[in-house]
Amino acid sequence: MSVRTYLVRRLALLVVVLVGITLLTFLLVRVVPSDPAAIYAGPRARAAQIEQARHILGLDRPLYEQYGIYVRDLVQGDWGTSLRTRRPVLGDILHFLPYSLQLIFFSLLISVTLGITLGALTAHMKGGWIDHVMRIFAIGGVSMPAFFLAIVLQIIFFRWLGLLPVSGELDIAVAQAHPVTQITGMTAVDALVTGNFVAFFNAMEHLILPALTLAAFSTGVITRMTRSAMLESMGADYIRMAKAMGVPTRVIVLRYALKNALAPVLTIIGLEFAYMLVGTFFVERIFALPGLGTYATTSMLSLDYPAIMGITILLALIYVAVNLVVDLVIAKLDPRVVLS
Amino acid sequence: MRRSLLTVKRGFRVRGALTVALVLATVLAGVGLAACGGGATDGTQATGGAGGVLRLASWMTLTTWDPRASAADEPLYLSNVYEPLLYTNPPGSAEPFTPCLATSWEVSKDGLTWTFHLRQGVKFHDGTPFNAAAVKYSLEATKELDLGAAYMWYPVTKIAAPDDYTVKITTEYAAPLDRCASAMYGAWMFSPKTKGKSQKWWDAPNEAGTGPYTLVSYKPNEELVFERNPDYWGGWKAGQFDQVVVKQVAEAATQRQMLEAGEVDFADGLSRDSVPALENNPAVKIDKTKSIQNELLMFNTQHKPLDNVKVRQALSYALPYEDILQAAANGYGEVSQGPLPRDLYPHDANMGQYTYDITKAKQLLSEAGYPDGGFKLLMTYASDDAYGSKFAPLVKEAFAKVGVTVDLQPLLFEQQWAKAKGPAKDRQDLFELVWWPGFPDGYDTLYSLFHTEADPSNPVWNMCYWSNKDYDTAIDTAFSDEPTDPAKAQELYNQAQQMLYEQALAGYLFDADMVYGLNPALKLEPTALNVNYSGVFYWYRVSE
Repeated sequence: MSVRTYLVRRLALLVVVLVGITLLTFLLVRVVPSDPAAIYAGPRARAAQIEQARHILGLDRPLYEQYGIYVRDLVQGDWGTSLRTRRPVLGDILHFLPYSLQLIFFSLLISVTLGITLGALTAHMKGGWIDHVMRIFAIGGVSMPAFFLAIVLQIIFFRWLGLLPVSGELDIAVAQAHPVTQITGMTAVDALVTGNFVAFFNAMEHLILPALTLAAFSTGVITRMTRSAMLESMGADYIRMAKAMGVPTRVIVLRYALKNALAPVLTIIGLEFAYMLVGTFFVERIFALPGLGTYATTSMLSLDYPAIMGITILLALIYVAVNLVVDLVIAKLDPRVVLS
Repeated sequence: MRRSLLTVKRGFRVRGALTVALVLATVLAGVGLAACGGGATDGTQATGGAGGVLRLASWMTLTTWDPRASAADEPLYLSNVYEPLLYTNPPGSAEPFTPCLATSWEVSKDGLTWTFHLRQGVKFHDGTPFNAAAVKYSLEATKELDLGAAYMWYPVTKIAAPDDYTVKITTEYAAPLDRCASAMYGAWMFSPKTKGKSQKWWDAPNEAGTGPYTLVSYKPNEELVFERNPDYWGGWKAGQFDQVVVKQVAEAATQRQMLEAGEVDFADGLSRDSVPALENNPAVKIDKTKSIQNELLMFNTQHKPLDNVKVRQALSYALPYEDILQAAANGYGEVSQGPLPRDLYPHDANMGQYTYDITKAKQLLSEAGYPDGGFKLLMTYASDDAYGSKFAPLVKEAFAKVGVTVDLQPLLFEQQWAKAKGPAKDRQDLFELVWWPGFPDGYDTLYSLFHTEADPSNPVWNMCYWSNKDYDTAIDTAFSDEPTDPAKAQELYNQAQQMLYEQALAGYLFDADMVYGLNPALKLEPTALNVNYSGVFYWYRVSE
């Protein structure tokens, strides 16, 4: 079918997914014991104040009515007001999202380049010592919990070697002396674009350890995936033909085998993006970074249900969008794939 | 001639893309390393960084900027931007109170009229002069919104401003308005120009205080920047700070790293078990202050067999108080004597206290009809507070020694609280609670935790679900007597506390210390950290 029909179908599916997710989250949040009215009224509230809060929040209405109101507001762009920060949830999310995206892109860059390179290398040198060593690294990256790796990196690079900062997006002194003008909300990008090189270098410094932590798992996965996809494509008949015809190995590997191996790897990259979205929860908290992850963990721990629902919907949206893009890219790249 | 039979149609130039990516990665890595060479961390021990900046790492977040509604962790920030009429001094001070925006005050013989004389020459940050009209406005606006600690002002019937610097407050029944007016919630003075502004406006954020610092910028969950108010009525001396930067850092480990590296001058979220190591570090100074925060384990008197006072007393003897203090707070604190911390008025220094005594516990249990225990209790504790998860297993172990089985249930505090307020049969038997009063008067604790609930089917904080009219009368009368007959008030409070001891309504576990990590070069005035304002660090009272 044509790309347009495919897109329309996928978007229709997106709506179904969103309805399912909002309903599920809405019900889960209601089922979990918590008293949002008490959270809203504050810890020192007396009974009457809590009742008043319950009414303000519309919690005294029947469940289906609450859901209806919620969906209606959502569609009009009102994602609710955070119980904790008292600001619109959508505004909060859009404020914090760019920083997380910056971190994810950087991590993705690291894991994709490292992963594909290592995967191709180890496939090519299958059985050699490089292959074995890299396998250990890959499995290590996949197995090590993000929060543990974060602390280990902090100790090594901050405590022992004094090379990299421990937390935050900028040094306090740098932020005071060279303030960054907000354009996109991505600190490093904004600094670079406005010519604020001191802040740019400082922001990059602060991004390295978090990006490494976040990239560890994905690098491992992409390496393994690329390796097995490469081995499979290297074993194909046409590759053997090319070898027999004397085509140089470099050309075989890079121009033919790798390109054909990329389809499953691209799918994985889409999934890794989604993984990293959630990975930021741990990483940002440990490195005290001002991104969506910190906002999400704080909201979850304080049972701020409007914010929790907002984040869930956002993540669902991003996940579906990324997978759609990946599917379209693969369809464009690989003529064997037919959209259906 | 070699023909490429095998080109993939319409393929993109993978090799090209890969090369670009690799080059980019190398460049970025190179840039990163080059930047590293420029000195990654500010390892100097110079106080305050460049030009008088005080840097803090705090876990405290703001729920609202509205001074009328503040009821959570805002005081760290609001106490430096806003001021109350007066401050309560730590017990044992020469004077019970320190004047702030009020220079003196008195109460009528019948206790129903308070007169406050105001400080002259004070201005709000927006330029409006501070006067009696502003006080009247602030108190009335707080009472009208009726959120946070507004309940302190319920007894107030009329506020008059006979002249610019005198405020007369009339109450329906006598109440210690001096204590109320010194609270860190609901007692701030803010500019009358904010009349009619909504909570949304306040949360933008906006501030309208008289304090020594003004808010420059606020990035939620990230950082706050304040700068000095040059027109502050208290004046400025050499060494005080021009700017204050607060980084909001939730992780204790990260705060510790920042403190040790000299990146911040103050950290309030250090974990107790890291403190001994930090005390040995010459780059860090550890400050321990008493606080009005304490830890209780409330018994559900509506569930059998906790409805039997002997059982409750037995369990009170079965709690290993010293071990609990050690496990939960690494010993930073003191085993409680009753439900009020020792440094909180009106704590009774002569009241009874349970100690760890297994023999007595077993004896009382058999007297109650449970010689080998033989019953089960559900204990809920907050997994997100500092102490619960650390000592809960000790309670289980200790009660097992007298034959009582304890099921532990960790919940997020909001959930734990919701469960305690839910259907009676689903409620817990033991409720772990970290508590501090909303204003520096233990009446708030005695009332909130043990007074009969306004609506017993919808409890708020009385997690013992206890009701005793004599107790209610005692504390309510005492509160009313505070301004007119303080000696009688103290006597009534003592009676009430003794009742709470005899009824063994809760395990009165420990009074917690506040532990802060500081830059040793900072000079703190004695009230920079005040026990009655636990968690607040007064930046004006600090210099380098």
